[in-house]
Parts: sequence; C-alpha cells; structure tokens
Amino acid sequence: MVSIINSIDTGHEDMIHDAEVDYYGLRLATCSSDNSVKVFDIKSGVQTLIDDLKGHFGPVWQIAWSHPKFGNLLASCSYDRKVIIWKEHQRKWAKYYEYANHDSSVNSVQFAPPEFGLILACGSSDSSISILSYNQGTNSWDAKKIQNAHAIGCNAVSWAPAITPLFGNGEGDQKPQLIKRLVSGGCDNLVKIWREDGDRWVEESKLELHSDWVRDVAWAPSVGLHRYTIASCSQDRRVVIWTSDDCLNWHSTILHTFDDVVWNVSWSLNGNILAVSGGDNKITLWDQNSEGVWQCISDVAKGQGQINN
Amino acid sequence: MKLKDIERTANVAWSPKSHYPIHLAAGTAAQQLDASFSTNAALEIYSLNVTDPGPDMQLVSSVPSDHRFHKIIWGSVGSEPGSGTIIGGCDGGLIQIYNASKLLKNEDALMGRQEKHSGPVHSLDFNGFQQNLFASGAANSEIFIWDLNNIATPMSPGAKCQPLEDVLSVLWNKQVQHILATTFSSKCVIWDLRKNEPIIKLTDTVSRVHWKVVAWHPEVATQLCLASDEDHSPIIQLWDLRFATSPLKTLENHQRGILSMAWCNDDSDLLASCGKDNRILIWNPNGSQPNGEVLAELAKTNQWNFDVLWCPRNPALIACPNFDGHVSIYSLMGGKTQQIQTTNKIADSFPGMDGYMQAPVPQQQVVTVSVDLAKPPKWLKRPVGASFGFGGKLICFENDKAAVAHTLQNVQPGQQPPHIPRTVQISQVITEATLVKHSQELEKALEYGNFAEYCINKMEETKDQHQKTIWQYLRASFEANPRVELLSLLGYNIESINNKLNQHVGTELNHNVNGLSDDFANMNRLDDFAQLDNQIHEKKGPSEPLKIKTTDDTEGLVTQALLLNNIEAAVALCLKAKKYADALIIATTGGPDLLARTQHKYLEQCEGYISSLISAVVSEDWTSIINNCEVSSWKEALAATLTHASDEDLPGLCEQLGDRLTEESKRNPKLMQDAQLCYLCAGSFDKLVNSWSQNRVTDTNKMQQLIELMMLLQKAVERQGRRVQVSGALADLLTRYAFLLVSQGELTTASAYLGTSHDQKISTLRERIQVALGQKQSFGNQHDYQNQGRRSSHKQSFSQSYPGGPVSGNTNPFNTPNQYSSIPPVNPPQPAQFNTGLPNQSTTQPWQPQPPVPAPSFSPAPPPLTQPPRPGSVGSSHGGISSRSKYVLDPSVSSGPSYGVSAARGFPPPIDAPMPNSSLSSNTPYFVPPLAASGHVPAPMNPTPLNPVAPAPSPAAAYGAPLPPPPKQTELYAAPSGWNDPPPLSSRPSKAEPKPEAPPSDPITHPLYGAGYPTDTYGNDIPSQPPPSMYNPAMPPQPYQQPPGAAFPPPTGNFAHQSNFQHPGSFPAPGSTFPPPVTGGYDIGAMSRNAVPPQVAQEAMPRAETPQHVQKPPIPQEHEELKRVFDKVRERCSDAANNPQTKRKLEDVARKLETLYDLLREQKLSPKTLDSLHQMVQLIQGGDYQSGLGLHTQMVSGPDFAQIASFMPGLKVLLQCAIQLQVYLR
Repeated sequence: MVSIINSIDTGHEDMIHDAEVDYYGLRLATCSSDNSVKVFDIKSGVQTLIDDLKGHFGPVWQIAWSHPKFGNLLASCSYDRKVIIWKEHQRKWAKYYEYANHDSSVNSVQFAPPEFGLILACGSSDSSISILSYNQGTNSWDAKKIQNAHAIGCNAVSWAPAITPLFGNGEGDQKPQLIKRLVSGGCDNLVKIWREDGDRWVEESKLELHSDWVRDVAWAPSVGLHRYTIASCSQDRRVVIWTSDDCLNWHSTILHTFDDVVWNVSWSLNGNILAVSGGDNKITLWDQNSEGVWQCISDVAKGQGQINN
Repeated sequence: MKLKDIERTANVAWSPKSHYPIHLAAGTAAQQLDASFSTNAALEIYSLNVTDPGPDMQLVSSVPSDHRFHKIIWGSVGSEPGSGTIIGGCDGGLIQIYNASKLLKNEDALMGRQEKHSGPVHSLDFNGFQQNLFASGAANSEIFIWDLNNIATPMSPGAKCQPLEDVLSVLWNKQVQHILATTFSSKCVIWDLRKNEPIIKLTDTVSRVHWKVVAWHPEVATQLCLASDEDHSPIIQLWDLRFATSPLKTLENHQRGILSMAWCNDDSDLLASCGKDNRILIWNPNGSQPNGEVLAELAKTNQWNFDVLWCPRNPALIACPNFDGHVSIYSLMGGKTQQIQTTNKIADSFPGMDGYMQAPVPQQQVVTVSVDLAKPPKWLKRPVGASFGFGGKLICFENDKAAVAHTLQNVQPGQQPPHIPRTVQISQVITEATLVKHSQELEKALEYGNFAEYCINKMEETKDQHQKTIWQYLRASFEANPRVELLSLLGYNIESINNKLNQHVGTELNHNVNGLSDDFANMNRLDDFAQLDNQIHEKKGPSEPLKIKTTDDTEGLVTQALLLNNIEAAVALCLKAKKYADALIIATTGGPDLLARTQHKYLEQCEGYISSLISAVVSEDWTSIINNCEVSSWKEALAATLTHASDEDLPGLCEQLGDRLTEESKRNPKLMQDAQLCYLCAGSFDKLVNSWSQNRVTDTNKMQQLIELMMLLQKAVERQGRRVQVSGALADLLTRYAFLLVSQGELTTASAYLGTSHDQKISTLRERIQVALGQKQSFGNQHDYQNQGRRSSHKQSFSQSYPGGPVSGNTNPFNTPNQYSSIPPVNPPQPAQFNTGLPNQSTTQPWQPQPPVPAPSFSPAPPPLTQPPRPGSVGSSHGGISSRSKYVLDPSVSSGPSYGVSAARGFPPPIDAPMPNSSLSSNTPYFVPPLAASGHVPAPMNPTPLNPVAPAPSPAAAYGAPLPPPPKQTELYAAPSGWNDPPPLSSRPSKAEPKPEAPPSDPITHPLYGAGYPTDTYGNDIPSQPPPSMYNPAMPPQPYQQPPGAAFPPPTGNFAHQSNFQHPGSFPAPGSTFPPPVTGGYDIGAMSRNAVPPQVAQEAMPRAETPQHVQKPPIPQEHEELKRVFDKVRERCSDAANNPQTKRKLEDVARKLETLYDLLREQKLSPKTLDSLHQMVQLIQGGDYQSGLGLHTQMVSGPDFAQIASFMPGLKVLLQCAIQLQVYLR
C-alpha cells in the first residue's frame, strides 16, 4: 500500500529536480530550476519551510544530506558548475563550503557512507568526478578528481555501501579493510565502478549494456547481504540490475523496458525495493519475488498506489 | 567543446535515432578540392567512438563513389531492418541510394541511382512520419517527393515556383507530416502535399535577405526559422505562419552570411547556426531578447562551417563539416579541452588557394575555454523522481507537463508566468502487510505470556516437519520441567525407561545393590584390611581358614602392601594385574584422590562406549562424550547431557554438540537440523541464527519465522534464569528485522524489538528511530563536527562519535555500559518508558543520551516534574505496542549497587531522559547533593489535579513535628503511585517556581527526584537517598536487582502493605477502594510518624482477616489478602463469563493461582515479588486493571521471572478477563 501522508507545495518557481529526506526522515530538502534549495521540517505530517537556500546561479540538480554525525550538512550541485555544502546553525542554513572546480554542470552529489568519514562525490558534465574529503585536522576539504570518467558527461554517482567482502570473514583476522567504491553513469552510455586505490581512484569495472545515456545509478544499500547490487537507468528506457559478489564480475538483468526514458532509480533503505521514475511521470516500485525475478509491485500516481505482491 | 574530428571535407549525416551505436556518414563534398586535386569520392561511415578519449573517429567502412555529394541524409527505413538507408545528392541531378546495413559491412551497398533532377541536388530530407518518403530539391525549382518503395517515380508537390531558381533547402514539418518547407534565394514556399500546392510564400521585402536554409520549430507546427547567407544581413528570422506578414523575431549575431542552421529536436530552445564568420552559435529562438538570445558560441574555427547537424540520438552532439578539411563533432556540454591543432593542407600546399577564395588564416593552437549554454538544455532537467526515506517513506515529485504546458501556452512572451504548484508527495509504503501482521501477533503472544500455547500453535500451523520439531522442543522449555520434556522428546521417557530397567534389573538385584551399599558403609568403618577381607569372606558363606600369602607374585605383593597399608602400591599392583575391581575397592580407602586416579586408570584401560559413559558420569565431564560419540548418537549424547549436566554446563555442552553436528553437516546436510535442536537446547542464539540462515535470510517470511523462534527462545532462556546478551548474529538479525519493520513504518514496534542491547548496530538504529519518532533530538542539531573531530574516533559507533556538544560525557550512553554500572540510571519516576514483553526486555528510553538542550532551557529553576515522562511513551502507556514496551530492564545495571541507605548517596537520581533539563547533559547531576542540603521542595509539584483523591490539605499534621516543612509533600508523594498512569504528564502544566528558599545553585537536584519525594520524611539522615529507597527506608540493603523498571515495585509494594495497615484517618478500609493512583503519601506520613519501617508495619498487620486453608499449610497471614482478592476476582469473572472458552481460561487461572498460593505457603517468593503482588491486589481492588497489567509486565521483566513464571500468566489472563468482563470488586 502506498498511501499519501503529505503533499507539499514547495513554492518553487520552476521544475523540481530532486527531493530528499534526511537520515531520520524529519526534514525534506528540495531543489529546483529556480536555482534554489529549500529545506522543510516535515515532522508529523506537517511541513514548515525552514530555509530557502540561495547561492546557486543555475538550476540545482541534486541534493544530498550528510549523516548527522557530521552535523546537519546538505550538499547541492548545480548547472552553475558549483557544489555547495550548506550547514545548519540554529535552524538557519549558511554556505559552509563551495567547490567550483568543475568546468561544466555538476549533475550529481552524494555523501559517502559515514563509515568512511565526511566525503562527497560529485559527477559533472565536464566528464569528471570529484571526490571531496573533509579533513578534520586542517578543517579543509581535499579534492580528488577522476578525469574523463564519462565522455560527454557524468550524470550520476552513487557510493557502495560500506560492507566488508564476504571473504576474509574469518574471525581473528584483522578487520577486513573497507574499500571505497563508487558507481557512476554517464553520457557515454556506460556504468563504471571506481575503487579507491591508495590515493587514486581507478576504474574497476566498465559495465556496457545501455544504448543511450545512463541517467541514474543507485548502489543498493546492503542490509545483511554480502552482495553488491546496482541499478542503472537510461535514456534507452531500460533499467538494469547489476549484481556481483566480488565487484569484478557483474551480472546484468534487465529489469524492464519502459515506455519512456527512465530518469531516476532509488533503492529503499533495506535495498529490497527499487523505485523507478520515468519521463512519462510514472513511478513504479519493484521487488524480487522468491524466485529472484523482478516484478513490479506498484504503480505510484501522485503519491498513491496499491501493492500487488 | 570539440569532441571528435575527421579529416575530411565532406557532407555528413548522423545515423538515425533508432540506430545504435551512433555512426556518422560522410560523403566527399562536391565543389571541394584537396591538395592533391584528387577528384575521387567516397561514402564513408565513422563510428563516434565516444568512449575513446582521443579525437579520432573510427572509420567503419568506405565505399568509393563516382560522384561527389552535395548532401547526404540517413533514414531509418531500409530494406533490412536496423540500419536504414543513406541517400546522397550529387551533381547532375543524381541521387544515390545506399543500404546502410550493407555499407556498414563494407558490402556493395548502392541500391539505386536516380537522375530525375536536372541540376545538383543540394537538399534532401526524410519525412519524419513516413520514413520511406523523402524530399529533394535541385536547380530550376525542382522539388521531388520520393518513396523508397517505388523509387522510380518521384512526385512533385505542385507546380514549379516561378521564376526558376535553385532550391536551397527542403524540410518536412516536424508536427504535420504533409507540410514541406522549401527555400529559394528570395522566398520560402510552404507546400501542402495533400493538396499538391504551395500554401504560403514567405518573403521579406524589408531586409535584403537570401534564404539559404530553413528550420522548423520542433514543437510548434507553424513556426520556422529562416537564415540568410547574405553577408549584409546575416540574420535568422523566426516566422509564424499564422502571422505570415512579417517575422516574429530576428536573431542577429552572425557577422557574415549564415550557411546552415538546425533546430534541436530534443530541446526547442536550442537552435544551432554556422556562418561565414567561422562561428557556430547556439540560440534560444524562443527567448525574449529582441535580437535573439545567444546561449553559447560553440566554436570559432578558422574556416567556414558549411553545415551544422544535431545528433538525433545524443542531443548534446553537433557535427559541423568545415571547409578546412575537417568534420568536427562538438559537445554542447562544457568541459575544457585542448583545441586540437589542425593544419590547413590546402593552404600548406598552395598558399592562397582556397575553394571559397578565402585567404587561409595562419594556423595556431587555439585553446578553447569551456563553453556552457547560458541556460541548461532540457535534457539535463530531471522532471521526475522518487526516493526513499527512513520509515518506509517514499518521496515523489513530478513535472506535470500537461498542466505546465497548459498554463504556459496562454502566456505571452514577456509576461510573468503564473504560479504552477510544484509539489512533493510523501507517502508511506507498506509492502509487507503479512509481516506486520505476524509481527503484531508475536508481540501479542509475548505480551500475553502464553508461550507454550504459542509454540503449540506454531507447531500446528507449520507443515515443515523440522519446524514442528523445533517448536516442540521450544515448547518443552516452557514446561514445568524442561529437561524431562526434552528427554522425552529425544525418546527418553523417564518413566517408561525406568520401568524397562526395572524389568531387567528386578527387585532382587535392587536388594543386593542395597546390601552392597550397606557393606560399603560398613567397610568404611573398618580400619583393617584384614577385617574387611574377613568380612567379605564371611559373606561368601562358610569360610575356610584364611591363609595370608606373602609371596612375591602379584597376590603376595598386594597382600604385603595391604598389610603395611601402602594403599597406593596395592592399587597399582592390582591395576597391573588387571584386578580392577580389587584396585577400585582398595582405592576407596585411599581417599578421593586416589579413587579418582584409579577410576581414571581403569577407564583408560577399558574399552567400549560404556566405559566412556561411565567415565563421563564419574568425572562429570561430558565433553568427551560429546566430542567423541558417533554423530549418529547425538540424541543419546544430548539426552545424557540433559540428564547429567549442571545448569551452568548444559548450554555449553549442548552448544558443543551442536557445533559438532554443524561441522558434520558439511557432509550430511540433514544434521544441520539436529544441530539446530542442540542449539535450541543450549539457548545459543548466535549459533542458531547462523545455522538457520546460512545464506542470510532475505525472505521476510523466513525472517519472521526465525524471529518468532528467537523471541520465544529468549523467553525460554530467561525462564531458566539466564540473561540474554543480544549481540553477534542475534543482534544482526534483530537489527535487520527492526529495520524491516521500520521500512513498513512500524517504528515503535521496531524500537521495541531492539531493546537495550549495547550492540552497536542496534543502538545506532535505536537512536535513529527515537529521533525519527521525535523522542529525541538529532545529534546533528546540537553538535558541531569541528568540536567533535578532536575526540571522535571513526572506529567507534556513531553514537559515540556524535557528541552532544561540549559536554558529551553522558550523551553516548550506548557504548558505555560501564558508565551505567557505576551510575545506574534508575528511573523510577518514569515508568511509562519501560519496556517489557519484548525480546530482551530492555528499555530504550532510559538509555537515551541527553541531548544538550539549547541554552534557554538551562533554566536554573528545574522543571518541577515528578515524573517527567516522555510524552510519547506516556501517552501510549495503555495498551498497544508501546504499553508493552514500557518496563524494561537493562541487564547492565541489574547488578548495581545495593539499595542500602548508605549506597544511596552515590546513586544517581532517577534521571529522566526527556526532561528538558539540560543540566542533565553533564555528568554531575548524576551525583546529587544530598537533598536535604537543598532542603526545598518546589511547591508547584502539587499533583492535586491528578489525584483528586489525594488529600489536598497538607498532611503536615500527620507528619508530626519531626517532619519539617513541606506541606504538599504528600501530594508529591502521590505522584509516584501513579507510576503507571499518564498523569505525570499533566503535572507538567503545574509549572511552579521553586520555593523561594530554593537555592538556584542546585537546580539539578530536586527535579530529578521529582520534588515529590519528601526528603525530609525520614529526616536528614537519609538525605540523598534516591526515591526508591525512600520508600523502603527500613528495608535492609538488598541487591538492587531490577534497575530501571524495578525501581517501582518497592514503593508500590509498600503501598500495598500499607493498605493492609490501617491507619486511622488515612484511608478508608484496607484493600478497598483506592483509586489507582494510590496516594502513598499517607503511608509514608504514617510511617515516618510512627517510625515504623515497612517490615515492622507488616508484622503489625492484622492477622485475623483471612480464612485458613485446611488441607495445605496456611498461607502466611500477611499474604492472605492476595489469595482473597485473586480468588474473588476469579470467581466473579467465572460468574460473568458466558462462553466456555473464557471459563476454560479461568480454570487454568485457578490452577495457576494455586501454584502461586503454594509458593506463598512455602515462602518461596522474594520480598520484591511479594510487594508487587500486594500492589497488584491493591490495583485490582481499585479496579485499575490496566495498571495491574502494567505491573504484571514489569514483574515478568524482572529478574525474578523464573521464580514467578509459573503463575504470572494466570494473573495476566485474570486481569484481562476482568477487563473484558467488566468485573470490578468495588
């Protein structure tokens, strides 16, 4: 059952491009082509606008909440080539850090799993990906760049969950090292997996299947599964589920070919449901049945829908 | 930015949108020469090769052509599906048609040639709707419409335009399939192919234009742009055919004539043009600027670009053939790249030579700056999206195109667009309705306490044999004698086996055995071996005279040893001679040590399983049996273990056996199930979870099953008096389960399952839920990452690394259990927060870190809350999930310091997390200065409104002189009595300032006690006593076993006592009509006046009230009341019950009550339990069954569970029945 709790007129003056709730689900941030980011308090089904963040000079494409252990931080990225990290202080938000080292639209931002620290990945149309790490010692941000990650542009980035590989699970061993990984999708129709290797980021896998721009990628949170799952969606109207046990050999399953381009894929926090948003304004929910076959369990229209199992 | 480059002077065409991957067809351009003067021509296909970082495009195929090309087009329809058809327009009216598939395979691809035109074919265009149709334009106003299916006979759209001119461009309308635009140098003619005639002619008499090229608006059918290649008026005009007298707009920016122009199909706000000024411009033809809005200058080249083409499949790409001998591919998306240096080969070879008579510009390296469109292209604008949030929330937004278009359609340029609501929907997603249902059932069962029944139901429900067995075993754990039950499940029914044994053994043997033992008894008394020997001989019957041999053979040696009482040697000799019996008998006289050694030696030398068994029995070491038995004998091993092992050893041994089976199961998977049974007997949660879910449970049904099992097992283990440490696999499972519940929006339930475990995962999730529920402030709100950086370590759990701010000492209690053992968070005033019935019966709230509250709340005047409850939990204190989750024990504190008065000083006051008192955020408040020191009780604490029954007038009189001040203390006292009720919340409004004498310096102390504890009741001697101890002042210091939740029973228990203890004028009659919130104040007052500690008071209680039972020993008089009330309620219920089911239930209750009475008779219940029972009776008398249930929950979560488990379910059912049947004693 998908039942609407709250419908929020954001007051944005142009298209909304992203809407994300924070770690606790208490606040909603939205961003729009009107160059602004808005933060709402949505506790108990009532929304109050907390702040309207102005600082971008172009449409704001995506926003990301940090884990609260780092404070209340919100990252936004815009067509104005900038990434801004906003910070809340006594319910007022102010610019905390601005990163302006991309040469084109920054299309995607996402904070790394908190286990890794305060790290932000940004994908840009200038074909590069930046990884910004906050350094507590110096109170500064270090930037690393993956150049030429995706020709013509990177559209989406998503972090791998901080899980340890199944191997080396033996007790008594030293703790297996957590490895930072990213997945990105771009206008070269590719999905790429990046792994941090020392102080560099290397391309670990290149997943070829899509025949048009990859619009979004989403690495599934791993709740108890030592298995990697990624969803990618594309202008080619397809959503592909990629799975791997070792991050090297990836197996692809075409979830479905939709009637329109697919803009957005998003995993539930358990990683068992995938929300797919298409250009025809259709939002569908998918899960895997007991045989492992993906099935559409709901069509969500205006925030409402039935669940058919 | 420039992306790719082909070194060709060619007319090009992109592969159609449906074609993948993207290719570019390039046909050698007519009217061009290269340095070699070669007149060769070819049609080539290049792959875009976008992922290759270099500038080169890969040449896929190339076919020579006899003719050079003026124009090429690539359509999607072809003889073979897939690649389509390429058509080239050449000199002399020639049209060449190629099969693109064949071309790509480098096969002979030329499908046809038509020479219907008379001059060079400059323009071609495929119809967007019927891809088999294409139009062509040539000299002499010739326009043909061709059908690929019948290429021989093209048709003409109508009469030729006069005067005859070159047709410079032809273009199909993008919206209406039968409309075709054509340009001639002085006019633009629009044709309607249904009518076969021109329907409109556009001319501009004002400007001196030369219409080189036309571009239809991709969306608005009536709009088109016309571009002029006239250097004097290098303009683009936007026309609307509905207002065809003059252009809507003129785009002016090119400095010289425009050679080509293309409107982007994917974004109608993008129009590309290129001209003789060597520039490629991107316009927004729909923009409001009067002279046209240039969004970007895509490139500035050294030569003319003679065409510009949008890639149909990748709208960010534009191909521009240039007269400098290159075709360049540009990306509209920015990014700095080095301009690829090109050389003009013509210029190199023949300076001054140039096809268009233009002086070659000296080549230089040009570094392009990154170029972005001033306005983002549409394809970057995500119109729709959905994301998930904590708690199964789905956040959706979409761009309602229809609505927006509708709204915008009526907006004139320049006008302020109307407000379009941009909404975001937040929805709750519930996908696991069954899970939620099952989870609720489980909770109910846990609350209800009928575990065995639940197991039986499960057993009956499941079809899986193994599951049945598992539930059977689990059920056994809830029986009166679990081991016996388990044994019988293993096939060892004690009775039947004993019978069998008896048959075999017979009574005679029994007798003999007895006799033998007598002998042994006698033997022990004998000092002399000879005498023993003698006696044995006597027993043997008529004895012959005895000769003692002292030869040097074994016997003789033994004899000698015995004679000299060298027992050790004698034993050794006997063993050597394999006279084991002798050895053992002799050893018995040598002391236990020797005996043990002898046994050991004997067993070592014996063979056969029996000896192993004997060995185990003798040595009480079952490990060897478990480790060495045949795997198939696991049942026997388990049975033996169940029979013999002590309570401490049993779990370990069962687990060991389980481990063995698990190990073996690698060879025989079937054994895994047996291993699970062993784990079940062992209560090994981790192992069971691991074994159950070797591949991680993902299926929610299976997870639910496992959780059910775990919860029940937990109950079983608790029943054995063991404490369950939630960690490892169990913690992992619980976390996942709770997270799953969270994803269904069941936050409260989820939180209940999480309990109080200190497992990092659990506490992280618990914290998250609490914040989400608004029970707690988020860490992010109060803390500054910078500050935290100094001390946080990443390895630590989150909670530890979010310090609440400057004073973080107690903000992360999750990870610091030690802190609590020294400072047990006694939480008496906040009963509503305790949890029971749930898994590990842990409390969530008491562990809540105190978020430092913003400065304002650091008020020196402490909030006068006696029971500062978290609103949420109080509100839900009745029924439902949260009620179940009220009283929780935290194991870590259960062994806290004793309650003694002396200890009390060091006790933390009952700190209540939700208290807005920010001072709690430092550790100091835990150690409260003696209350007496503060000597004040905030007046506001008047709970009168809450307890109308409470005597509002100050009972000061009752207190007597020694009781100093507080007139209102009694009422304050009343508050705790309402421990199970919401009233505390309502006490909040009565915000009162502390009494004037309250020193502002110690604001912390009194709120913590809740001013309700009359500190002076007991005089200044016990000043800092924590509330609970106040109630039991006279109680000997007893181990403080039941920390948070337990704080209540003592006081309430005392109330119960008090109720029996008639106090003149304080209450009406004992055990009669108290309202639930018993105002304990009376009693305390009375007590303090009489200085009678509870125990004494108890003794002084009237003894004659209850009837005596005849058959059984009498119930102690002070507890008669219990029986009287319980029985009365049960009888009333029984009378009121109208269905057999309820009656049966009540019969069961009767049995359980009898168990209780027996326990009372035998005085087997702890004082705490007794107190609680008395309190329950009081509540029952008051008709407050809900509180009674709460108390019940609290009791079963206490440490005495094992002791009371046999009857508590009965009390619960009784209370529930009473509620249901509306039975009240009053």
